[in-house]
Amino acid sequence: MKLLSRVTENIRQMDELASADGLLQRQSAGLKLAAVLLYIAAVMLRSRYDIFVVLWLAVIPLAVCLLFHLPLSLLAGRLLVAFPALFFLGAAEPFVDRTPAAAAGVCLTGGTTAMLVLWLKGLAAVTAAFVLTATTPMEKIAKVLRSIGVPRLLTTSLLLSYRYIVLLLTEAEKLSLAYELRGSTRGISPREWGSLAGQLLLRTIDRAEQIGDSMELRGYR
Amino acid sequence: MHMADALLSPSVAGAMCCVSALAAGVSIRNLKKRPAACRRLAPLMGVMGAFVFAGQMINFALPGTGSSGHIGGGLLLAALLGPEAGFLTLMLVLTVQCLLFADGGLMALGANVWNMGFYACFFGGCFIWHPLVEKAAMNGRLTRLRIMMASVLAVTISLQLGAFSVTVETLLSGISSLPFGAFVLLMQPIHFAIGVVEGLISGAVLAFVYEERPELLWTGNHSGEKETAAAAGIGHFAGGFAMAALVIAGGLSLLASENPDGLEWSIEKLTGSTELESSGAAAAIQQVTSLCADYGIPGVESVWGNVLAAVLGVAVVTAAGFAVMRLMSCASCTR
Repeated sequence: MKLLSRVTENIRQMDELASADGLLQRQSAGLKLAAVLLYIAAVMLRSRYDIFVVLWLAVIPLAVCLLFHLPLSLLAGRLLVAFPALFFLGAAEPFVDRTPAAAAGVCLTGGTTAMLVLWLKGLAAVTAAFVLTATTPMEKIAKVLRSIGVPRLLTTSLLLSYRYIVLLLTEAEKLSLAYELRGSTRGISPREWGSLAGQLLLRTIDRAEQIGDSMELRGYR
Repeated sequence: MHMADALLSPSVAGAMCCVSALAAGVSIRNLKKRPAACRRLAPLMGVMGAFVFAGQMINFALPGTGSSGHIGGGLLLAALLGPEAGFLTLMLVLTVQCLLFADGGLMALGANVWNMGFYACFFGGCFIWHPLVEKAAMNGRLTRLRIMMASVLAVTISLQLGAFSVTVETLLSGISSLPFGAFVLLMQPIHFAIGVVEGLISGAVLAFVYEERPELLWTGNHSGEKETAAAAGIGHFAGGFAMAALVIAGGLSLLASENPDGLEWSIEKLTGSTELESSGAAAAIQQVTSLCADYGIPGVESVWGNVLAAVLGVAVVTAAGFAVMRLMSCASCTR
């Protein structure tokens, strides 16, 4: 329940941020997408021991966030989603790779360096992607995708999906709340797994039919 | 199972983007051949994508564990929309997840689409779910239990394949120095448990849909056109992948790095050499049967030896793949 409302609020905040009138928001969406992809590729290219270059690279998108007042709380939420796997995979490195590696006079093992590089790479890539989505509305991203040849079926579905996520999240939230108010606070019990999500699914399919009707009536083919 | 950008090298991420884009391209082409299936596909895909996204946020309690699970999106979509439209819809869901919530990296999108979408929709959907429910649905004997079993089996096996792909992709990228065996042992059991739970939840939802509106499920009972086109689609897929594999293996093998890959690098750390010593009967059999030892053709010493070996390898694997697919389709026909 809390998760559902948090996600809905998150999407609303990102939408507002991307549609605001700022210097980064006014830049071409294509240019921003290309720059972010090139940046992430540059980060990925660095070797597992290249700690200083990766550190400098990670500072760039963080500086952009601070400079253009992008909310760090939203970035922290994304880092929390992306980091668990990176954290555990990185934490295993010092136990496996014990070769000595010196960095700026500090003697670290190869594994510790690789762990820090992996975490920094994760931070850099997530922050860069956040800068892109916090300053570019989904409609503009879809327009860029269309201009580089992505089929219309995919771009139209992407935009519809994005629009209906909030609506369906709200419905799912209502369903969960109604269920909780009837006495269960520990999630949906197995006996109601099918009927609860199934009802939402059937309503979703009916809704898709109605949207199809509306689109055809407005001339969509 | 969403991979972050930091877990991949640009070459592996690029290759996975290429194969996923190819899979998406062939899916769209196959769908366009069927105007009836394609009608109103955009709103259906869009809204179903939103449903999977919202459905994954609902907590389904797991009795006795104190934890919760969520629906497995890939199989649910394949069982409702068919494998091609299901795959494309899951691709949209993963795109939105990566853009909005950093759940999976931008450059890693191709790998994530492959690991979570391809196996669930084309392997789990076509080769497990569909054959298991098809005949029973035609005879009107499709039960809740059968749907649950088909779902659990399809989701679990596709998740195992996806988790194995994650391991291979990470090690090929040279990101982790964990030995291959340890990495596999870390990934597979966790994803087995997740697969069983996701399969049970997806099965419960699909069984409910079957009881309420059976015509919505992809069982082969209601649309013969849909079924034959899907079978034809798999043939086109196999052809497309064989061509792509030939180009990648034959052409890009010239650009292959001289440095050891992730797995060799791990072996080197453990043993001091990139090659493992082999002995005994198995090694003797391998000596006799290996046609292209060390990725070369005996007698062709130049780089063309490597190219020829790569092309020959792809041809053999493709032929074996076709044979397996043929056997599987025959098995499902005679059932």
